Amino acid sequence: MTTLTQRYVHAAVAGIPEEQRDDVADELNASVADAIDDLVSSGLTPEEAELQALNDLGDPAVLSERFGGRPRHLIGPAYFPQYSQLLRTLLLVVVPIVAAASLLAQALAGSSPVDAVLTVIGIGFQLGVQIAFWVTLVFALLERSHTPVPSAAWSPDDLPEITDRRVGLGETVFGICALTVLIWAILWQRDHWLVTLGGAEVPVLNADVWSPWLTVLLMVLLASIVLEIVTYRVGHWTVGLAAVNTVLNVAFLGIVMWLWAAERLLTPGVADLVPGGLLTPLVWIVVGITVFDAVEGWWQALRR
Amino acid sequence: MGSNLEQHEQELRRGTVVLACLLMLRTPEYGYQLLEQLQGAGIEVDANTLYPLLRRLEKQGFLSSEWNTDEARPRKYYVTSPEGHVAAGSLSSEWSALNDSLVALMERNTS
Repeated sequence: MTTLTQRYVHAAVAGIPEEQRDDVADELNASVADAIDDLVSSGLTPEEAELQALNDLGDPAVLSERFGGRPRHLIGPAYFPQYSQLLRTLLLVVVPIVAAASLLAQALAGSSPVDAVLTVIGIGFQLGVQIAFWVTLVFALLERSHTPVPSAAWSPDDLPEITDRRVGLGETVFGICALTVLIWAILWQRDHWLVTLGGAEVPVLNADVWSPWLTVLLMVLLASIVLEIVTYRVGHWTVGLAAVNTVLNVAFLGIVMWLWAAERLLTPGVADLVPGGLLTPLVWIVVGITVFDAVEGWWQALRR
Repeated sequence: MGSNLEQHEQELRRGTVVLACLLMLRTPEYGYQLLEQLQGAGIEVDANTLYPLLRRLEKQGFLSSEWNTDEARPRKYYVTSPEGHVAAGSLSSEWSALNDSLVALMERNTS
């Protein structure tokens, strides 16, 4: 049967470097015993005195940390700046590059856009989790190995420039990827997304309007990609860019809605295969996204 | 509000504990004894602050220690080292200067 004091001392010296552990334990034992004797002589029973003495010393984990044992944080202030800097850099650089590369690889392998997007999301997520885990683990180990921090002295030269950049790399990459997937989906469905209709295999989008309307639609989408890149290079939305963006959005929406209203967008008969009432909300979502994108361009341009 | 004030009071006291230890340990004492003596002298310090502090000061060379195993209960005795005496002198003048400055401030505000 171990006493409370033994259990307390054991907990308090856990994590203290091996060579000091016994010495600290011996001293702590003596100190607790002295405190107990004192409390007993002031009238407490030995049991009460032991409880009181240990209570006075407080949480052994706190004591252990103060003795130079295991820190009670994963990554402390000494390492945190380097940790967060490295983690942010890796996540913002490596994940988009790998995601873009694997999207390209999927495209070249000829897989369906839906599969490709799902695969890329999966890869991106796994990679992000892996990076976060390993970087955190390394820093947590550094924290516990008492390695001195190699930090350069700060100087005013380290201050980052204040840039007028409002359009981030993230939203540009996201926009380009979304447009690319849309273009790819339109091209891909022509030969691969076939529906059996009355014994014949037909694509979902009406092949009769391929020339010129779907071709024009693809041109509009390509122009939108160029616009994304130009906007990123400029760094912020201008009235001119917002106007071009609106023209492209109106052109896209105009073609889609006109074909839709004329019941020429989908191959005749395909709409009947979709459960009733599902297509109309879908069209409205497309309208919503397009209008939002146009308005956002103006909002960003005029807010400056 | 109350706990904020308490925290400021603790911070004020914290730095003085080192000086109090160096002065008190001009004669060798063991941990619990020093704790009692400090409390008796009006220096408020918790056991879980004092014991690790003694080890840190020893590691920094301001204290030296020795196990006394003559009695039934072996105890670790600490005593201020020559380096510790120098540090105590410099901390003492720092304390006096601080005290003078603060007293001057207090008087200026009341007059």
